[in-house]
Amino acid sequence: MPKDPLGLAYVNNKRSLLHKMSPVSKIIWATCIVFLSLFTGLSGLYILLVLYLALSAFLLITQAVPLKQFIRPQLLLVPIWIPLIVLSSLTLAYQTALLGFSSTDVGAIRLLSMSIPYSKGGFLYGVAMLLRGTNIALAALAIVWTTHPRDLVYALTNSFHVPYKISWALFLGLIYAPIIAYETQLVSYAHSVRGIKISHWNPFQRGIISKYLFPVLVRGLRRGSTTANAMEGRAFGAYPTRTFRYGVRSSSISKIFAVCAIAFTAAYVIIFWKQMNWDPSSIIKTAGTG
Amino acid sequence: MGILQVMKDDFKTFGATDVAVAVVLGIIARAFMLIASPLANVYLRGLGPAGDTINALLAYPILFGLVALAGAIRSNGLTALVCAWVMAIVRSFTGDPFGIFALEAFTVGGIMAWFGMAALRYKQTTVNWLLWSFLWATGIQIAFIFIWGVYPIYGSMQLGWAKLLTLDDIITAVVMCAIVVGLSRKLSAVQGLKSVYKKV
Repeated sequence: MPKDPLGLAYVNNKRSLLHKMSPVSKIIWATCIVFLSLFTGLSGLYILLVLYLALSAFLLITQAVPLKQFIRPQLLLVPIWIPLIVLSSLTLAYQTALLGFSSTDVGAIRLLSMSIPYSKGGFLYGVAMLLRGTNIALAALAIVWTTHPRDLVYALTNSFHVPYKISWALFLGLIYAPIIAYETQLVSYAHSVRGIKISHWNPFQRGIISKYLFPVLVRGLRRGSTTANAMEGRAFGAYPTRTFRYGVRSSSISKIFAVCAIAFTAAYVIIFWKQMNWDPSSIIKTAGTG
Repeated sequence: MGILQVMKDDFKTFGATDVAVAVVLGIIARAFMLIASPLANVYLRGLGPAGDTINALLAYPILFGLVALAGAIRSNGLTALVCAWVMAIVRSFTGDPFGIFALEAFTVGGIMAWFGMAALRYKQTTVNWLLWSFLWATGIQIAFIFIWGVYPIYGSMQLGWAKLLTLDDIITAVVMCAIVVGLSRKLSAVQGLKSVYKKV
């Protein structure tokens, strides 16, 4: 059985609540989470944390995804987000005039005999981006874990009326990702047997583009050419609409679920109006008060 | 023939080969963004406007170049747009939080680029490629930063203005133009790829 090292594969558990939902209701639900994550201001950081915990609990309690697969892709996000907090705290301290921060924004950390300046606004901005990014990623992953790619294309074509040529391109994209990964592995093996040493940990090593990008591009395009012939053989694009062999079965509570998500978002906006991030300069205000 | 007619023809002739080319380059662009997205969006943006100028030389030209190459291979701006959508949606669905920003930016900037490519379609000299690339890079950056994109979300519109003043879009366009022209010529010479380059 092929392994899923990144934890991004579809989880085949049709008994879970999210698996029974229609893809449309899940897209609406995820959009609401993305909206709440992006527009919750810096003064509402605790709300972002609560949203993350609630989302995690919902996914695990409804058994939409096993704990191991739930953790794996999120661990990949840690090295991405943690440096943002550190970097923005340290570097924005030197750009306070450019950013319009007040002089009280800059604090100092005492380390041995050194005094390192840091920006409070930069720290808050880093934490906010960490929480926003994690919430958005989790909402997107919830769709991937619980929706078959075929059902996603069906929903895009039939419910959102996306031209099927374009939704088919997205479907093909999800299928092609492991194929391109496989081609990259083949190129890597070909270099190894010729005695060329390539480090898998250093993306900036010399000649990486000519050794990897060009061969993978050519091999990928040649595979693409074969796929195109197969698609044309099946009359791809000959008719404006497309008949699907399989329909999407969804639970009757899908609509209720989607309506509840929209209602919750609306209620949230009304109750926490002041903590929403409508004003683009909110970081400056927050930093200014700190 | 008007520009809109050219765009209409692009849509009509968008076939299986265009889909396949868009998908392959979109996935390769996504693979590149596994490294470039954290580098560009977290590490370099964490450095403020100074980091954005480095971004213009490192991360974006290769990404924009790969996406634009899809359009260049098929002489169809829509192929580049679909390639960008594939890249952005696959990024969104594979846990990259910046994927949705990319989708929004490429939808606005990508259509601008398609418009520009249609205008320049019959005279694809290096200078025209540069102009088109500039339109592409600037369009996406403006959409990315100012419409509801990264900087308002990050919290400071001033960062966006500061970035615009660094003129990094011009740098991006020049580097991207060099990548597209160079790779396009190299790839079109590969015997096995003639079927991809031949427009049916």
